[in-house]
Amino acid sequence: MSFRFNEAVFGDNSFNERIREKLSTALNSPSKKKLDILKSGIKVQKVDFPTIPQLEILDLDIITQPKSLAKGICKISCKDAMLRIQTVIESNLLLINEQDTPSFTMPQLINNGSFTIPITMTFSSIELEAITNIFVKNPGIGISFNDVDLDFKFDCSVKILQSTIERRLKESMHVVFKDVLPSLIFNTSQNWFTNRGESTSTIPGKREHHHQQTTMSRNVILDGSDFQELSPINMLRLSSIVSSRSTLSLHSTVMNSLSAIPGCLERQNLYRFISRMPSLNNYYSSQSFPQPKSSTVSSKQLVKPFYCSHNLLPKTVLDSSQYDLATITKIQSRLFDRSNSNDDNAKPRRRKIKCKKTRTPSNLQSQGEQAVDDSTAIETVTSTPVQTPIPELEEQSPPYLKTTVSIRDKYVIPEKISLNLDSKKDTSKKKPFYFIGLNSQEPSNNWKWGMEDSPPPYH
Amino acid sequence: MLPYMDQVLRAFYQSTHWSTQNSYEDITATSRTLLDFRIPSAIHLQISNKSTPNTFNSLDFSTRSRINGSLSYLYSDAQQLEKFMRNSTDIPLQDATETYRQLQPNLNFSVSSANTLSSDNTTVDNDKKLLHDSKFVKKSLYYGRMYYPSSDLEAMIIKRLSPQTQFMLKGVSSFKESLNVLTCYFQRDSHRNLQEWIFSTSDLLCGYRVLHNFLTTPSKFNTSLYNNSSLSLGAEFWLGLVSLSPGCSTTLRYYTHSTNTGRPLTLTLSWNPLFGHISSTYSAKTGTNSTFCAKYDFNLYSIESNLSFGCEFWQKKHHLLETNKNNNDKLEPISDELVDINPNSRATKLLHENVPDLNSAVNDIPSTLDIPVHKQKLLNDLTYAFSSSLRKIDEERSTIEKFDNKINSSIFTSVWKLSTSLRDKTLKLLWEGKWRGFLISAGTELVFTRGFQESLSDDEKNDNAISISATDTENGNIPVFPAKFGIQFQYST
Repeated sequence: MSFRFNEAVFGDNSFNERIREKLSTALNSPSKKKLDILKSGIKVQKVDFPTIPQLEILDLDIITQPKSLAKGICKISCKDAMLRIQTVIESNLLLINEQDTPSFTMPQLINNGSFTIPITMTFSSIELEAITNIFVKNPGIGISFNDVDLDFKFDCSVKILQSTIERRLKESMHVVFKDVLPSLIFNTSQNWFTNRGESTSTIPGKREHHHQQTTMSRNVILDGSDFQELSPINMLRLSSIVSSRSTLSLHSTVMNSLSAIPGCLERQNLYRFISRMPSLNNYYSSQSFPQPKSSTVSSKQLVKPFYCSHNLLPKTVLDSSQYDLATITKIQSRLFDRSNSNDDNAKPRRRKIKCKKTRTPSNLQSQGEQAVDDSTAIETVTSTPVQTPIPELEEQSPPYLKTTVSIRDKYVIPEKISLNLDSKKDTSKKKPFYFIGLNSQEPSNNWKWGMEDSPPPYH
Repeated sequence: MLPYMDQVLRAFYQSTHWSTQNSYEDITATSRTLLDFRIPSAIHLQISNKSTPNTFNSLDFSTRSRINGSLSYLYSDAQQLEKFMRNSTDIPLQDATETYRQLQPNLNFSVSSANTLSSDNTTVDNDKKLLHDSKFVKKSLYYGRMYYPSSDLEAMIIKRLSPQTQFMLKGVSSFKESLNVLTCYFQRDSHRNLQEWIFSTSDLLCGYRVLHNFLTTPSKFNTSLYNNSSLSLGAEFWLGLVSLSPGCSTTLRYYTHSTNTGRPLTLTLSWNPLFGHISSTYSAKTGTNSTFCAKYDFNLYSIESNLSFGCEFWQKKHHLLETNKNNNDKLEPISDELVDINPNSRATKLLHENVPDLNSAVNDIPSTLDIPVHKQKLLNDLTYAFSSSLRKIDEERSTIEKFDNKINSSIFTSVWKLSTSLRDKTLKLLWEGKWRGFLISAGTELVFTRGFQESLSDDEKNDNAISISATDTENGNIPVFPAKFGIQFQYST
């Protein structure tokens, strides 16, 4: 990314002319509700920026949001500017009041005609220093003024009103910098981006220099002439990025990283990305688990259950006693943390089922099921390994489809895990143990993709 | 056309002997009605009914973009209210519409002056009794109006607290705009001056209005000329407490009759010292069927000026005049015995008492034989010396009375109203008339958009302008377009 600050724009007087034009259109825009007291449009008589405004870039960040192009923090300062506006106001306030009130209750005033006064306001020696946040997005430029330091001298043609107007102006200045200016800049930049401004704004030949300047600033997409001014190293990098994106290869160009461009996820790397997402099933898949069938499984089939399944653990994993309880808990809490990234203090609610060591494994199974039924009244799909005949068709499908874990939207109750662990622990440690389930609220909705809000995690 | 409820209100004022001509608000009423008359802006229908002698209701429909309307009720405990109300078939046109306001010279009805009046004039005494009766009954009027579908509410209460004071409360409540306005008026009328205190909740507006009548006593000397003029000076002061917006104005009004023709004319001069507006009007009833008004506005500070011009043309029933007078008495205006709607007669009678009648003086001469001869001679000389002027007074009085009677007794069928303003470049046209019991008013307001129009001070020029504009519209250029157009029907029983 590169840009240019054309100082020559401010060199001649045409910049002031342009500002004047913009100001008068903004002040007289028909969308604004016209005040009763104003009897004519606001005319901007004179604008003078004698010095070149200083623009200091404090920070520049090309972030990964899909629609934004750049984000930066700038310091803008200008000195000795001058502005003069003129309008006509109604001085008979009783007349305005009379027009607002229904005539039935308004007593009729004799000879209460309108009396309009032309008023000229001059702002001289304006000094502005502001720190701004600039977001360059696709449809326009957003600017927010954070730290504004403004000073000016005010002079009004109606001397009685001068102090009042000055006081009110200084009070309402924050609105200008919070509301008026950002919307004005955004609308103007929108014209640049969509190239509509070229057709609508007819700039006379006198200001041809500006016309050129604005058309150049509209060129967001690189033009042929611009390439000469760019450094060849940058161009090489750009071309490699482009080529890496346009390849049809299923494998990524760079084997050991997720993406060539930081913060971008490419299609062929999706599987790799998913595999690093914390989840019960892909945690399993990332392990070097001896699976004879997994080699035959295509990546597409692997990806698909990620959207469909709800964070389940395949039966085979459990059968092989690959995970211990602590690992599952860890994964679950990581999942929970991800889905509840908004509030850090939320603790996962775990359901603990305590089993006495005196029970026999068969009794304990029934007891465990009973406890589950009693406490949460979950309709458990009790599919024992014996009852689920594995169909022949599912030979090609991933093994975790053949799960025996009871499924419900909000709860994951690995009954068979418990059974296995139970038997294992029963034999080995003879200690009370816990069934652990995680109440993750609507995991499919809260699931956050890296591309949407924040960059994807790389860990 | 005056809305029905305004007619009832006027009848209420008449029946309770509350003079409306003393209000400062109406000090320029004549020029206002001639220049700024209201033009209906839609098709409007009003059906009104006097259900009982004390209750009135009215139903309004109008179609602008959609049908909307209003329903209004009025109750008043004033006596003899039905005598002042006429239905739309019977009401004379000059009473149903706002027109030139004829004023009567304000007379000081103090007890001391009343004693000097002759006792045979029963109507005067009756009036005097009514005004200063110790048995004054408090009268009140309640009025409510509901608009639909906007469901806005209007309400008004008028209470006569004493023979000289009146309290009025007006309120508007609108749900849609969340607007609630209440305005109180307290008025005190002592005939010589009327004071008003006003408070409105919109902008917390406070106001004080006063109107003072000069020349309230008929004359100090019996020999003075017939006193047919009135001079009034008024002022108003306003302050909006929320926005701290002040307002004030002062107005001088002179009303008199032309000595030769007996036709009334009004001059006003008002000045707004805050904003430098000066406006002067001259209105004259030039005949029984025409009225003219001119108004000149000038601003002292901005040197802006404006000239407005308005006129009225009344059309009489010429050929049927005699037969109607004979056959159809009810078409005649309300008679003076019943109402003091035309207190001119009262005033002239009063004034008459202060002027020595020439005939009676002549008749008195033979009867007063006991007067010494030299004194008799002196009296005769005096009578002779002033006889010409006294006769002149009589003539003037008779011409004024004759003219008033002529207007009151004539039956008008329709009236054309025209008004134009130079600066605003508008032309208002209004036709009001009676047709089969309906009171109809139809009008339009034309706005000149393009080009400099010639001074439209003459009626013929107005017509020319219209014809020019009509041709221009045919050519595709539209220098004039109707800003408003509407027709209004009123029917009341």
